[in-house]
Amino acid sequence: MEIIEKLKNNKDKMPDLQIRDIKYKNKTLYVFNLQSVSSSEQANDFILKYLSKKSFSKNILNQIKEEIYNYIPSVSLVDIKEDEVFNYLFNGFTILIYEENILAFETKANLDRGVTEPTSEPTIKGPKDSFNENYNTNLGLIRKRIKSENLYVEDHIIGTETNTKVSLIYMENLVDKELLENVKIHLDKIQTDMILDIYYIKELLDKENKTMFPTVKITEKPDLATKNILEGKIIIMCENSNNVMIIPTFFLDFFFSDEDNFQKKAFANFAKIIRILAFFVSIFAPAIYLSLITYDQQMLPTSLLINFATQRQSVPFPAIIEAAVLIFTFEILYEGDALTPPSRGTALSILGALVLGDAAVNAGVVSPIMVIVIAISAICSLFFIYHDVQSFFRVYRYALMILASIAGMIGIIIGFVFMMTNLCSVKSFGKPFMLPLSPKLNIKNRKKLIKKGLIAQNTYKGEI
Amino acid sequence: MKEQINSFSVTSLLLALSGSTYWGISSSYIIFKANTSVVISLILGFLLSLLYCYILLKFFSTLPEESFANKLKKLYGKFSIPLNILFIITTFLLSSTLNYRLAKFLSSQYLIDTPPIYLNTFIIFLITYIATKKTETLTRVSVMSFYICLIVFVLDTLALLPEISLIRLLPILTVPEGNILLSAFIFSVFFSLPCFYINIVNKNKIVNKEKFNKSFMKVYFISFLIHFIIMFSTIGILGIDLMNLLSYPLYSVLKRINVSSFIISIENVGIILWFLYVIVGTSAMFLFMINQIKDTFKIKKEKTLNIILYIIGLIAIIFPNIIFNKSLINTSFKMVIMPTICYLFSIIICLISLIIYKLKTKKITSQ
Amino acid sequence: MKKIILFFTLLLLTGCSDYVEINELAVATGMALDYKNNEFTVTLQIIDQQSKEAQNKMILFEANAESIDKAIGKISKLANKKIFISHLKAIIISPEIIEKQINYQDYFIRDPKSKMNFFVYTTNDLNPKDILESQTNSEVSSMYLDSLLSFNEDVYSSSVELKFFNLLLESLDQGKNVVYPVITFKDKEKKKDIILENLITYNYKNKKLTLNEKESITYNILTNNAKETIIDINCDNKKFSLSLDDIKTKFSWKNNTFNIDTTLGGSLGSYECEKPLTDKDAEKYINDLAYKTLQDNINNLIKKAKENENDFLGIGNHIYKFDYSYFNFKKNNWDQKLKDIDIKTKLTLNIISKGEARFNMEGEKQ
Repeated sequence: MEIIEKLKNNKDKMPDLQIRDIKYKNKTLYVFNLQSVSSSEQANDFILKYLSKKSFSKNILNQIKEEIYNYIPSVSLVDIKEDEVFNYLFNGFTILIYEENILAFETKANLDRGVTEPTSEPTIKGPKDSFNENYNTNLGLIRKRIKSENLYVEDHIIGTETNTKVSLIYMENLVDKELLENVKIHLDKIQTDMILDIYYIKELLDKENKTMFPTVKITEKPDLATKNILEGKIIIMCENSNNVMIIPTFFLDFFFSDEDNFQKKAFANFAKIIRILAFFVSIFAPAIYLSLITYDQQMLPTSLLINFATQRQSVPFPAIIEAAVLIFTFEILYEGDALTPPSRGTALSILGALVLGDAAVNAGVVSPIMVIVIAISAICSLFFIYHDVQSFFRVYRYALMILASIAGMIGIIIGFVFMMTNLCSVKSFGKPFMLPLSPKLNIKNRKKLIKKGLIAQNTYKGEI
Repeated sequence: MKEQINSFSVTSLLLALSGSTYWGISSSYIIFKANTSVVISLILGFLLSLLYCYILLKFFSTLPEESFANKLKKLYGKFSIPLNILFIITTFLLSSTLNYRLAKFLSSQYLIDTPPIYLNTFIIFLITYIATKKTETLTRVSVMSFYICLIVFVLDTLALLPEISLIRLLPILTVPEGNILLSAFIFSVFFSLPCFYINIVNKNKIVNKEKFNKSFMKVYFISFLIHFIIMFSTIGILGIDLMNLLSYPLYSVLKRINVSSFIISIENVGIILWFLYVIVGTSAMFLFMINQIKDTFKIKKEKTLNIILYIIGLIAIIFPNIIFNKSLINTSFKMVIMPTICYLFSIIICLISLIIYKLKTKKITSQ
Repeated sequence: MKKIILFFTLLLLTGCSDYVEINELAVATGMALDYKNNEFTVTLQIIDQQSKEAQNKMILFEANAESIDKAIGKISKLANKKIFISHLKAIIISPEIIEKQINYQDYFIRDPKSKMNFFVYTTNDLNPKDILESQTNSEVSSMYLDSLLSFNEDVYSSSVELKFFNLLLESLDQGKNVVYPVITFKDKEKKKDIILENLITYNYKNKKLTLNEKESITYNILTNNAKETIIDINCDNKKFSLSLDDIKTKFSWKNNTFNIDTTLGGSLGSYECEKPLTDKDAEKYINDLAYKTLQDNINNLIKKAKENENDFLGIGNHIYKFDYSYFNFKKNNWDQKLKDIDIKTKLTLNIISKGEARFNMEGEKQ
């Protein structure tokens, strides 16, 4: 067969290709696998031992395919064609070729670390396992939590050079069919050569929404993923990636953390209110302070006004430039802290504390009240564990500050309305982004669901 | 993807639409005419306006799968083209008046040194941005603005309650009855005319259209209650003489808020009400204009529509500057007379269309 | 789309003309107005931003001009900063401005930065500037003027809290004349220690009328401005005092007679009379005496109003609100008509408690 010649010629380019031929009278049985991706132990144990033990009679040789099908002690066995050989080889399968029969056995090597604690989403009370880079492990972590036959998994292969396996996981009886069709159409449209991680898919799926706010949520915890599956959402899982993507996502999902399930309800609601307040404070605080100082001095009580005036007496810059300088130093600190390894982080934090703390105020470069306002805004933005929201904060903080120094309170209101329309125009796979807030829905069974304890936030199957 | 709109989302536009003409234009006019009997004329005006709402709702539910321009085409044939163009022109005049009124208010009370044309550009930029996002986004923004306006209104009224003294509303009936009826009519015109712009939505696209009429009446009534309470409490605080003296009484009353002597000047946050009303209202009007242009001239590309929108925005910045700056007397005349003409125009068209539609359906059923 | 953003960002650079740094403002907290030789004399008290002491120091500036607007402009030229009047706490007017009916209110209504919630005082014979000067040089902060009247109303009620807004309302209303609080020095030669004196009011002929302390307290009782007050009542040669804290007055106009109903509730403050409290008719004795004194106070005040043709109680205002067609307020002068109105008063008095002591010490000695 041609494929045998092709494989033998490729031995120069692929030095990890192992070829073993077993001869039975006139005919040969070829065994191929790639040493780097497949484990030779499994190949030896299951295939070669069997083949070497068994004494083949003529009948068996003719029916070798059925013989192997029925008796070989390996569960995963696929009957493939010539053009699929390379694909299976690269996936770690061992190929058996005999007289136009091509069979592939799965003998994958374990090239990953085990199941460890999540690094970017800290947990206090909940389960502490996280996804890792192995596709089967990830699927297993989900399957062990949902032991139902309604859990469907659909595979797609995307990427012309990387050929990564991307699968959709959903519950058949809860999911919205239209949404499923939509996601499949979007996935089929992707034409690229490399998909290395789930973030590449995120970029390609989400082209039509022009907003700074992240529109898709990515998580690395399996309990969060299973909770979302049971609410009727779809999960996209990618090979070699330790994150999964949840579709569709809504604006309020970024404010709810999964720790709330493991605490008392009253405290969880209180925490949610604080998070929403922190969101607004972080974006609006510098802008409101700027407009109070420059346009709206009448809103301050008299004694506060005098305090601010005496503090700003020594600063030579106008207020907007002072604020920009402070925010710029803060951004530098933030980026530096994220990128340095932990062994060098202490020097940076000392520098930051010295620079922004006493020295700048005493030298007369900034006023203490401005340091306080910017620090409050920065601390409130660190509330959000989900990292992509930070870009939203940065852009809108600057934009609102500039607008506030041009038009005062009116500028802030204009910026607020602009932000609102920008967020409202986002459609997450056909569902409106600001769902529980913006189109207000009348759901009759809402009270029953709340009583049962399942606040099903997003099981609105197309009822808009 | 399909557009899916709730009936509440559409009717929440009503609060913004009916409030946008109230704050700047009609409130000062009806106080000037009716003095302390403005309370009676408000109620009379509301009852009068229900008639227009009935006609509008009936017209809205005829031919539910068509947009407004196509409805006129089916009913009138060739005569619909000048009618549609007339609607475009009247909408443009009304919306540019409202924008300029807001810009002039901001420039005279808040940012004193900036001329109103700069503020007008900000406002019109925002409006064209919203209008490019089409109907669905506008309805969602209007739901959020509905809740924001309710919250701000409730907080303001609660803060102003201790200052109201009912005795300043007396004496009632100091003006002749003709004035009361005139101010009732003007109020009903300004309150119900902008509700015509819910025609940007085809009725078939609304998901629960059976509840539309009920939801319309609910939001309409809430909107009237809000404006009534505002007028009532303003007279109770400022008194009728001071209200006639000040040029923006509904804004100056917010200067009296004094909660525990540290929240002292929140009037600039109270501006958000007027601001949101005008922005949501006039972006609905801009959308209406674009839909008319799209249907009468049959333009299908989105890029050309967006360019036309920006051009209309540019004209709306320059146009009021030329007309309204000539003399003060003409300004008030144009601001009050012109909307009444638009009102009568739209009511006549709706009535005639209804009659023609009924005649046509009778012909079909009798054949 | 990108070109439009560019164009818009160019526009953004133009709207900054209202940008005022906080150090360029001179915050004015007190003002004194005087009018001589057809010119306003405006004195402003401005907070000094450069002083580093704990108390805020004040500076005084003065200018003359034909209008208040121009005078304030001249002061900003002197002080080298822009004057900011949103935080104005009190203004002191000289009595000539009220007598000659000069229009000073228009500046405060028209200016968009002014809030109309500052207090208005007048003086009797003093120059209004002297009061501001004493406040500037003393150790007490000048925001004292702000709280002077509100404490008075809560505790003693001998003066009226007149905010500019209420002054406007009352002067635009029909049938009531405005009553101004007067401020003077305790020690007139050394010019120290500000105190509140009596009230003054002007009628349609610009004739001045002063009310002494007893009459001011009765005025406050009749117009529902008093919250708490103390009244001394004679009993033979000695006195006892009542502290009243439940004060309500109602006006009503029926059948061409004007009725004033007052209810007062209070408790005994101090009792020094000879009659012992344990007597059976001691309560009636106290009640009768108090009733007589208070009724006399009220009747004397109304008589004073009628004699001087000055309706400061608001009787005409009430008639205007409830019976609009009784009198043509806009053409004729109501003050002249006041003597023809039939006014009846009625008083109910509740003395609730007698304090901690059950009986008095004098009574025990007997």
